[in-house]
Amino acid sequence: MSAVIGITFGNTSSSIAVAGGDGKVDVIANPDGDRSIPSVLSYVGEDEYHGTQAKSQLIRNAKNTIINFRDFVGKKFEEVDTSVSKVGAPAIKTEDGGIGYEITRADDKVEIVTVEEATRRHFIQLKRAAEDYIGKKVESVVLTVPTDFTEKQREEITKVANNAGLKVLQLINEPSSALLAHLSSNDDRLLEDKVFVVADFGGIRSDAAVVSVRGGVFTILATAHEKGLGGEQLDDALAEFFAKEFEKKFKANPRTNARSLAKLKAESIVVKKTLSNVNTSSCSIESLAEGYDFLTSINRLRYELAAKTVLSNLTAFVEKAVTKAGLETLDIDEVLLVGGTSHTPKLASNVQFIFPESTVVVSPALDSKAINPAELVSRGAALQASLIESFDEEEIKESLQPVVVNTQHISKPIGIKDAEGNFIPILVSETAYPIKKSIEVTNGESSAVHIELFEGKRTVKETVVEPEQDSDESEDEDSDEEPEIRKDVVYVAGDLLAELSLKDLKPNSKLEVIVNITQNGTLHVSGRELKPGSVAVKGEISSA
Amino acid sequence: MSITLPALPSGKTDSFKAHGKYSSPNRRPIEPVGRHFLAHASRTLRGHTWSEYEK
Ligand SMILES: Nc1ncnc2c1ncn2[C@@H]1O[C@H](COP(=O)(O)OP(=O)(O)OP(=O)(O)O)[C@@H](O)[C@H]1O
Ligand SMILES: [Mg+2]
Repeated sequence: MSAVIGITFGNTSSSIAVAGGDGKVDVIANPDGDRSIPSVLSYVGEDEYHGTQAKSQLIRNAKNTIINFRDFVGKKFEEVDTSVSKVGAPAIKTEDGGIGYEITRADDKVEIVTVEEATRRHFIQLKRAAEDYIGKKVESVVLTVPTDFTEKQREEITKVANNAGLKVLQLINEPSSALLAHLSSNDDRLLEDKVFVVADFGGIRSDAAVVSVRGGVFTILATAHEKGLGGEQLDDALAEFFAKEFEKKFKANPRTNARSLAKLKAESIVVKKTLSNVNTSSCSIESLAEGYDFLTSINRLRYELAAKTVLSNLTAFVEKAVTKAGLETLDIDEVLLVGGTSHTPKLASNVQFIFPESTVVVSPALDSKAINPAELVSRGAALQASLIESFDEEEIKESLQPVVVNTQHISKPIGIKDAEGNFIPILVSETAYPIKKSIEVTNGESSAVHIELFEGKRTVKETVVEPEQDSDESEDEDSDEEPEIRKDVVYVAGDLLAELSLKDLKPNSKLEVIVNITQNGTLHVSGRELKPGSVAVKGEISSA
Repeated sequence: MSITLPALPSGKTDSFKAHGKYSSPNRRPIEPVGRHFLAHASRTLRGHTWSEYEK
């Protein structure tokens, strides 16, 4: 027996997971005990180091330490920003125009390691870690990629994984994978129709996707990407804060040599992570510069101040994604924070602040039961792997054809009016079809009822919320505060599409209205009494 | 909480009447993940009925 696993390969770190038959997912620890495995390879003579061990080589052996190479897969040298390699082995142009690294191995022999070869070696290490952990061979995987990976990059990464002995059953997009994991956890929430922002904050990039979930089917409405915005900028802000303090104390500059900078950065990462959990952290760096040891401490507030600009850029990025989808923050039901940087408490509270109260922000800083944001993507991949494990290659390929995947979605909600004139949606906007949905209603005291099928129209309802009287506070503190206005999206009946009537009903009968849109776009609507032998009233309309 | 339908206004005799078309749809890719996607694929490819997937 072999196992199928999910792999997430990030520029900064990678994560592997496996799902059991019961739907429980295990995130796999490598032999170092890491579940978030640095995507780093380092060479000392004949030896290859991987993960955390490789990352720690950035201080002594930076030139032979390969970092941040995921986004380079399948790219030409000219197409990428090689500055992400600057604290590790520099990226060079290979003979064929691709990207590689000049690594000095034993006896000073120089080896050119291409990005694809580095990736293959990284995958071999991940495969080995998974096999050690599970105790079974691993031959197939579901691999996640960012939504802006090109067709060429998708082909290339698939090929490289195959060469590492990992057959790629399917490549899936990172935000969809994260969302699948989120909605499959504990109670199954896949069938709640909601609009999500999946905001993924990593090390050297930020990504977001606005995703509508309808009947458990996901549609990406918009994506946003920002390279150079991520956790590393938080590290840099903290490192600069420490550098200033060190300078003041010792009149020595720790920024002038690479090794001091690397030490400063490594410790800043540790301090930053500590401050996600507790309010103060110590910082201790041996011989930081000119032989001086640096020992200090910092509290969370001071850190948040030092990183203020980065934190507000991260927050503004989420808003940008919403705007790109043509939506407002009040149209978003839930924001799922993904990626290692999403552990940051201030980031979570900033994001919560730009959304209305009705929007749920999912992050461990706001809800201790939230899944580790750094593990969401690989968990989803593991779930998808267990789902398609039993399919053969042809079946998977067939389900990915354009005829299946490029689907029509209704642009406005479709529903009925109740006795009070409220619009009751049956299908919400962005529902993919073919689809069939029904709703149970009653006639009340009437013997005949009117079923009017409408398209919904979005309106924003404003309610004035009186400021709460707080007797504990001093009189004048809040006295000139404006009353808060709460905004909610409310759909009202717009254009009438069709009407049906049901007659000869006993009081309080159970009735059902069914809307069914077939693949060719014909909308069938029917109404009937929920009793054996009842005859449905029905008709059909088409789309504009 | 059950939804009550409005009473049929007097004079309405048609059991069904179409009034207009619904707004033109958007063609977008859906994400090939999760079991509900697989059900969608099966419906599209083989025209499977709904009940096979409904619980
Ligand atoms: N507990 C924590 N608190 C704050 N930041 C954290 C925490 N854990 C990890 N990080 C940060 O998260 C970032 C890595 O995120 P992730 O593992 O999602 O990387 P990735 O997907 O490889 O990102 P990218 O491709 O953008 O480099 C790093 O900057 C790391 O310092
Ligand atoms: Mg990532």
